[in-house]
Amino acid sequence: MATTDHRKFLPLTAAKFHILVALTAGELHGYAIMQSVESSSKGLVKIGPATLYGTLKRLVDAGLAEEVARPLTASEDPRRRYYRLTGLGGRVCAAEADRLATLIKFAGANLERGLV
Amino acid sequence: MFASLVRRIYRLLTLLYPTEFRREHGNDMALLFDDLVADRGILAATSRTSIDLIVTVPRYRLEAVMSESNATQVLTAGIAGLLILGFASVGVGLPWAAPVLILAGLGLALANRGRLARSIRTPDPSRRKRLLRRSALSAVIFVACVVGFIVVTWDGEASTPGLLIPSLMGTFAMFGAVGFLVAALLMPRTEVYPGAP
Repeated sequence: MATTDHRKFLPLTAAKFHILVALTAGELHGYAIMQSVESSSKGLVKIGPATLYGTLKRLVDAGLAEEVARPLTASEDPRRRYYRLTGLGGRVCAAEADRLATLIKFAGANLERGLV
Repeated sequence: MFASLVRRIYRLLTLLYPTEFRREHGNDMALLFDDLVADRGILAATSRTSIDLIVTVPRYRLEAVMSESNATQVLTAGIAGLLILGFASVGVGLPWAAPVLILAGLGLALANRGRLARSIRTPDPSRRKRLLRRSALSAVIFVACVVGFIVVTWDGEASTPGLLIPSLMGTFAMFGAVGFLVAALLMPRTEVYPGAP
């Protein structure tokens, strides 16, 4: 089976990475993704509706996320569209987290040595 | 009451986005805005979405313009413009500019031959009809320009601007008529009844 090299997607933009991180929690609709992004960034990242759906469209087109048809519960709004990570999306998200972790380690070491 | 008005205004503002994006996500955005208003109030919702609108409308519009099909149209117009200006430059007493402009037009076409061929090779009956209509319209304009040119020069006292306008328009129309016709004829036809013998 052919696999897509996830490194070609790196580095991710902040909006893409935040949305992918939000989707690691499972299937979410637009507003839930927006809330998750806000809470995971402690309110620092606030994305608007068009940025959210524009970024989601790019992620779906790239095969990193997908829309999911799911049976609705009585409390759910049928107009809502749910999204989830694909396998590739999960790998890209993990790789970006690794990349940022390395960067943070590097920055931390430099700051400790008083280079800045 | 006021919240409902604000929601309507936001729905209207989503019309500013490119059609394809609006069709796909217009309702989603409106629903999300409704959620924001319900959860955080009108002020928070409008302040967040107004910044979002200001940033994303021009960005998504630009992206739509630069999409494959639109970029090809811009490219084709650019090539046609260079060729027409090249031929027209002889008429306005700048013969040295003709080879430069014509070669630039041909070079641009050659450099983008893949993209141009792709746009012609994609079967699209409605687009072929559109191209044929444009070709016919260009031919009519060309004939009108030729007639205009003859009328202007009939008494032998034609002014330079009087000659320049029908000449330029006629050249433009001639290239249009031929170019649109060639593009329409090169486009493969789709089968009306796929699988029919």
